Amino acid sequence: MTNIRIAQYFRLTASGGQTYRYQNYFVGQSSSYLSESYTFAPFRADGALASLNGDNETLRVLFPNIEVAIRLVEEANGNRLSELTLTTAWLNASEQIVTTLTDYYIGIGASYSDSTLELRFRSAIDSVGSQFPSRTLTRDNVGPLPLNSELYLR
Amino acid sequence: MAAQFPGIKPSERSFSVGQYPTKTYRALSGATVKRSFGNRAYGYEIQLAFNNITDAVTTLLLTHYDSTYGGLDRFTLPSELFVGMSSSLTAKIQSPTQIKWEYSKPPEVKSVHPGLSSVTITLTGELDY
Repeated sequence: MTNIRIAQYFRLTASGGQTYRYQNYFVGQSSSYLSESYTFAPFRADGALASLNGDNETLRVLFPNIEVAIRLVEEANGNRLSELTLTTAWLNASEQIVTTLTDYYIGIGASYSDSTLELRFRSAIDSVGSQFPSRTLTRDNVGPLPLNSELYLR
Repeated sequence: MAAQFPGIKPSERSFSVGQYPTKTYRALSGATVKRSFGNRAYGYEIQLAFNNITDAVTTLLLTHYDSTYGGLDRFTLPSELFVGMSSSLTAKIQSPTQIKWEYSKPPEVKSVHPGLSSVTITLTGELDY
């Protein structure tokens, strides 16, 4: 039998510049990753991460409707245009990080329910294959660049 | 957090250890992969029976249940519940790491004689962070 231990490190920078760091594995403890401390929060992240057709992929981060999550949404302007760095870390039996995978997202909003608080993100602009985009988009040839992957080719 | 559970010696008690948050994927071949989601156990359970206790003691137990808003608020357990156990075993059960206790269902009261009742209480130990 194979056993895996996976922790997720959630680093959100709000549009105002405040940073929030949480992890979801070490209950009631802080965990250090890249010399930064991540406190525990009981969140889960799910959603598609990538596809070959270049669609905007959405990620959903679900928190229970607790004070820390509400404050995060309120202070982050409703999760609009916040920047999320989500790192998935594989741990060994000693709970030390062995391998990591980091994805980047842009906040597109949030919603409340009676018991949960949902933060929605879209993938940050990124190439999804060697053929896309066929040209490199720079500020020089297209003007201001978008922060997320809502890009229309006409 | 609610006030500590009343310090009354139970007539019977039983305990089950918590479980760790894991999920198992089993392939068609039968091979399994088990994923761990956290480093702490949850879902401990204690069942207590208080047999032939007076109405005053019964009232005390029910008052404590009300003070937790029917299981909403969590609390700690007094050492009187663990009389007869060694200190090391008591520590394991009384206060597992980061565990606080809550009512998993309302107390059950059975009248056995005028002025005497038997009360059964089930508590669940959940992670409190």
